[in-house]
Amino acid sequence: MQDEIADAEGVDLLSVTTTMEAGVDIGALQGIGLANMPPMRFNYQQRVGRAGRRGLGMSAALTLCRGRSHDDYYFERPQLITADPPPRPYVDVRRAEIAQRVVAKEVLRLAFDQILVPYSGDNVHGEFGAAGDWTVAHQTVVTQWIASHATEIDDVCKVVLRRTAMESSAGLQAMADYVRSALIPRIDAIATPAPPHVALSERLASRGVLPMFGLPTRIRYLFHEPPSRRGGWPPARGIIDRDLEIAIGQFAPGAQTVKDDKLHTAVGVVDYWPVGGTPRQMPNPLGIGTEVGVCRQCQALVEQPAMTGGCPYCSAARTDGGYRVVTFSEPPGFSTWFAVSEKAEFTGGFEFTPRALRARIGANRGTPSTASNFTVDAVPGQLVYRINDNDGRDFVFEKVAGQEVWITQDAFGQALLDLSDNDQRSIRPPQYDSAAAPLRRALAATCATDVMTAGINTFPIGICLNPAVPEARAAWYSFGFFIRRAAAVRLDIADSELEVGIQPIIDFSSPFAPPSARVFISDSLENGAGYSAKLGDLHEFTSLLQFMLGHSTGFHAMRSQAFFTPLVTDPHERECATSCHRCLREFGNMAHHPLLDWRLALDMIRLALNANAPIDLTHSWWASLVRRIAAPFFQGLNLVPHSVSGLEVGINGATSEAVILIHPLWDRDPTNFRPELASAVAHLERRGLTPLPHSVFRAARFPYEYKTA
Amino acid sequence: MKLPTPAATQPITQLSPSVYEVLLQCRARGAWAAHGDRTAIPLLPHALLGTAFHATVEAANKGRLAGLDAEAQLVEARRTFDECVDRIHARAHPLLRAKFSAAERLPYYNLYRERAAVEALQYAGPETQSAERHRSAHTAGYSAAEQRLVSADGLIAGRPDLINLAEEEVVDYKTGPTPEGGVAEISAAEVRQLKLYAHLAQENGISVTRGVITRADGVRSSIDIPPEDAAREGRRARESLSDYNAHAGESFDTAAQPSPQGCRFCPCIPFCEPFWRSATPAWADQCGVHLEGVIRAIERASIQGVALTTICVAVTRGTVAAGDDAHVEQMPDLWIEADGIGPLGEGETVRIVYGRLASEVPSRVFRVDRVATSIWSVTSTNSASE
Repeated sequence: MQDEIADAEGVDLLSVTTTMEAGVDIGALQGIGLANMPPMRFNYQQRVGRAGRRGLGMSAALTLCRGRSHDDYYFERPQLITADPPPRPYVDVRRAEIAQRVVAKEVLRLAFDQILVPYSGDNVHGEFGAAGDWTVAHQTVVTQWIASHATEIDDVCKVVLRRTAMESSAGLQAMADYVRSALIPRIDAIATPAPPHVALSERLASRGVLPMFGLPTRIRYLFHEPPSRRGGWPPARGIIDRDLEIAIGQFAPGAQTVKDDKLHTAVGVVDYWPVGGTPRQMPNPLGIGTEVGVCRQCQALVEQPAMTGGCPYCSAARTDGGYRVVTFSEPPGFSTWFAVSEKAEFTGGFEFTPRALRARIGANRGTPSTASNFTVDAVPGQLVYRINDNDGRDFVFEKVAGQEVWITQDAFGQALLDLSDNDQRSIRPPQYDSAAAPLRRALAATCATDVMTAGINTFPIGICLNPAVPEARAAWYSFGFFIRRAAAVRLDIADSELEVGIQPIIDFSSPFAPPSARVFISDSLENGAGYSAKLGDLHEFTSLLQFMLGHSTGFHAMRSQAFFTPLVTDPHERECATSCHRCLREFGNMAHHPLLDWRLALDMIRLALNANAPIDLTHSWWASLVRRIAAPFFQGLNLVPHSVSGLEVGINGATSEAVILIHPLWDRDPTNFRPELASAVAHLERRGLTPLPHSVFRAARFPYEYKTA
Repeated sequence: MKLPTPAATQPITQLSPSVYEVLLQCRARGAWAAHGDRTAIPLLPHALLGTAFHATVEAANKGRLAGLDAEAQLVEARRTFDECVDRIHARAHPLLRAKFSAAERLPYYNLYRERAAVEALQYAGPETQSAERHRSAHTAGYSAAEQRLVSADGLIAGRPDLINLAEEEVVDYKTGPTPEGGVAEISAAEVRQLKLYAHLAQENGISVTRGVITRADGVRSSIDIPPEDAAREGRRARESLSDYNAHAGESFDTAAQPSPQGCRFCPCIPFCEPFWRSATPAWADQCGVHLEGVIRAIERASIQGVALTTICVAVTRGTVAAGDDAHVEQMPDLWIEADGIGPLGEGETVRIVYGRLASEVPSRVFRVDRVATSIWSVTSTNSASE
């Protein structure tokens, strides 16, 4: 360029951010260096596409792959990030609930036209007033409008349903009926428990009554300074923000966060809201509370729990480590004890953050469909729960006198520990409101979104898929994360767009039989992005299972092979005894890393496709693992190796114990032994030995023990 | 399901060791063991598998596995076991078949099968021995397997699992493993049984001086049986038989002698009116959880496609305290109606046998389990026998 500054003209190296990938023409660039693997193929192509322009015959791109799963995955499969064809785009015009949201939005817009809603800032979801005004001021007007504008409603339905699967007289009628009879009760149910100052449209969008325009946000603040009018809203300083799902752990009472060399200990919850520009503490930040049953044994979540009895799925007793009923709140905000935050310096260590339980869903079902040996289901608007119950102890909140702040005494005590003795003495301890009874609560983040579930219909005798058993739980999670990885590859999305969890299911025809489970995959975004709904389609899911085993044909054939083959061949097959960043591990599933196992994931897929798939140690990827680990495992424990009934056995002559290496999914309960295991047990008993079935899963992870609790 | 009606007691002409054992507890139970319709009450899976275990070992003792190599012997033993279980399962009470659609789904199926096969190997004879030679060895007096022995007066008869002539011992297989703790003790009932077998052997000119119990896990325990002990047991058995026959013809209810110990594992509990009159909550530890009550409310549901019934009953009798209401939760309709009798109705009296107490506070909740629970509708027939 002619006007370019001379100093700049001589520069032939630029360090840039990812903004440059948005089609910026940098000129005759010859080389590109990428400091990590871009998230997706199109990001990569856009970035490296900055070079080789202006008629240059050759350019080069060098990508540094960092030691993380995403980079590792594409390092092993470079053709996927450089030259993979983009997936076919799709628009889902079959789902009534998507159309319902748009119809509801337009109906509410028309109905609210006659209501003078005070301006409260632009809201992309619609100007429908505050949730607290719905019942007292707006509901009657909207109800009357709906009752008296049948023609307008029919017109809205006709326009929205044009060229959709619902464009029929029955479909139009159903949509109009939804507006006339179901819309108002749905809004009532959402508006009533919502904090009164929150915009109604935002609540309706996050619960799937209205479309979600733009990115939903569920940011929660930890206030470590009192917010003031001068600081604006949200406050320019004195806060730390996190998404609610993270906040219920990181901002839970007693948890600590470091910011600008200060150590902030969360002590409780608060609901600041600007009133006339000045932030005020709104009353009752813990709200009414919702009761659910949670089981730490089998991962069950029971939405309407009974007052008595153990886990309705696995019969775990009512104990802190078993099944318990918790009352949870979704806090609108969190707070430190400001005087402590002012003084507490970060000196290099901070307290463990109580982590939330894994994502769970209740037992709602859509319209399940079955093929091969699996059942798949897509449930729109399913609630996904993340609960922090303080490791089964809950948090006991007390109201601070003269304020609308609820704190826990334990957390306050914890916060003080980081101050010097002098500073501690200078802090006035909280005075509690004796008129307000303490509230025992868990903290939760719930999210209504699209969910798909997938379960295995039948499995051979001797196989245990009870999620209360660690090996079976590992199999379900491995299956789930494998599906997510494959779905991300096929849909060309990031893994983090999808969440994974498991849900126990019980065979009600056989009371007290151990439960089984199914995996669920939910869209990360509130209200759903449509991915889970697509995956929940029978044909799509069948195709995905085939894809994961390298059996896809046609469009996905190459990707399918590229997905499967590196797993089961050298070097991965030889080097990875459990899971690694090349197969199942990634940053987002770090909490599950010890459980994940690619061999188990593949076995689950085989079982889903074939009820008679042999689940044993003779399959190539298990046989080679057993060959590698059996001898050192026995040697390390001073066990003498034998082979009994085709299984590897290590015998402890001193204790007369015989450790039998078994497949992780084989039941260790003698009522349900596999024939091979029963045979080995019977032979070993005959020799006066005590047989101890021990899974290869454990042997690979804990090579110096064979007695499990 | 409809309760069977027990017939009046009939004389027992020939006493077996197992009937002898129950007669010591209860004449009615003995009458049921000797003459009762076994298909009227569901077998426990354990009992079914135990029968197949004995059949497999018996087949080995009779030379069915002879001449085969070790692997083929195992295969043949498993086949024998499978055939026997399938046969019994096909004829079993419909409740058992409703709970376990296929024989191999019975709890412990594979473990019993393999233990039977391994046990059978011990008696299969050398690989090179033909079936003919195996039989010859038996006739030469080496051992006698599952051979029916009858006392000289014809009053006692039994079929010991094995008599080892060379060792002068009678062997009885027990399908349960060694009791917890590994103490290989022989129970009083097992001692009586061994002594009675020894007595039968003596009366048939076979010298037996020792009794052996072989548990399913291969652990053997033995006792010495002096001839006078065996003879004494024989006398006691005859006395027991005589006492029973002196009462023959009495009603089932009159013959019943319910007690916490005597009713343990008794198959007659569903229809034994004296049991229901006598049982108290203190019996539950020994006898299990059984309740009778009047249905006050019924809740029907279909969960995951399975029809389930929950009932609220005013408990009247059983091994749970009478008085307060109790809920019996989520009983599969398939179980309630296994014998083709229709659904439960309000006001009906029911008996839940071998239930499980799930919780007591604030109200009692019972559940059913797949191994032992049965649900019975009390009919007017039973009321008449009170």
